[in-house]
Amino acid sequence: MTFRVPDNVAYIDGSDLGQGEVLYLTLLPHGRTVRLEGVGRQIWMIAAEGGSVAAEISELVGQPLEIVAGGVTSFLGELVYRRLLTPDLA
Amino acid sequence: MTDLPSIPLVVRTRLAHATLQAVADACGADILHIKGAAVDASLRPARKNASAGASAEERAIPRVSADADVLVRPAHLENFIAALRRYGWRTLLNFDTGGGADHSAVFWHEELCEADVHRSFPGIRLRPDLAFERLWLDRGTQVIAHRPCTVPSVDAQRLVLLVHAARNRYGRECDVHYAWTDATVEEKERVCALARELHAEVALAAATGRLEEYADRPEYELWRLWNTSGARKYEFWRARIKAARDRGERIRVVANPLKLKVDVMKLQLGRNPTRREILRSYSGRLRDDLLDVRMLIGDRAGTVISSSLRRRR
Repeated sequence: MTFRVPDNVAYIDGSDLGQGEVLYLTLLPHGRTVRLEGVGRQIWMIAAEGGSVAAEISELVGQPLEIVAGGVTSFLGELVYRRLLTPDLA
Repeated sequence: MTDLPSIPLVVRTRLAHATLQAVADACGADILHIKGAAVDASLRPARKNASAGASAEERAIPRVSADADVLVRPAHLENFIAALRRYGWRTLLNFDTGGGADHSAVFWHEELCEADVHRSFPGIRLRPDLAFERLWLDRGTQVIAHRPCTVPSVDAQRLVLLVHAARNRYGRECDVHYAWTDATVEEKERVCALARELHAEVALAAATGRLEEYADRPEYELWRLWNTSGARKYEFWRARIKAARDRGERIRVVANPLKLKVDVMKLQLGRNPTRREILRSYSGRLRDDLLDVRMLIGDRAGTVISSSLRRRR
């Protein structure tokens, strides 16, 4: 399954503004903001670009796909539940 | 005020712009994002170490501001403010808190930052609804926090930065440099033409060092004072009365020192002031204002006496 950024999310990656590797996601129009760091940030960024998240994370952390897949899927589910990502049905 | 050390200000202001646009979209209000993160990349200095393939936005150094500024179509202001409150913004300062001819109100969001909501822009003397319509006509889009935000044209952005610099000279030399000094002859001509349309020629002249050409205009004194260090409150008050666009504005400016400004006290104290504190502050302010007037009269009398003495000699 691939994902995309919902229209009701604004985001900034701190590294674009010299503010460290922290991702800030704001739910619109309420303005509630969530911070993601480390692997969580990587997962969201790969998913937002429509990438194959588990495979890329597996490569990134140097662990077999079957080891990371469960954790990645569960975290993606959490992001979708919080409306910070949406499945790309296109 | 709530401190948010975990989210840097440069991030919060950008997220606030995107949030304000979403609020405007939700309630059907037309807004234009001005200054700060909304400024076009061509009006900002470029990074020296930018890679060859970097876009204009990536090359430009991000602007750091303390708040997110928006200009709202006056007819949509009431709706927009009601929507802001619905989505968690609270008023810090009302429109009538400043010097009387007040252009903006300040709102605060616990997870973002301050928003300066303008119903007009100081220096633009065309009626606010007409001025907004003119700016809206050739609006553009600036992506802020990955969301499209409506912004004035680049020419209008130049004008807004310049007019703002004329009121806040200190630290704004960079804006004047990129918005004016570095502009081509054609760009300057377009900015001047827009300033004429928006009745903002005097403000533009104040920013570009030609204020004396407008010494006969009612707003001249106000712009002169903004460029003068140590100008007194009373002098500003008198200049504002002179610069008022109509009778209503003049009455508001005249009456302004007599108004209770509880929102300012609340902001200073960080809580609701007591009745006693309000009374003490109000009488203190009136005393200071009277002192200011007396000092000014004293100065003027001194000038008159010394010049008459000089004449006698």
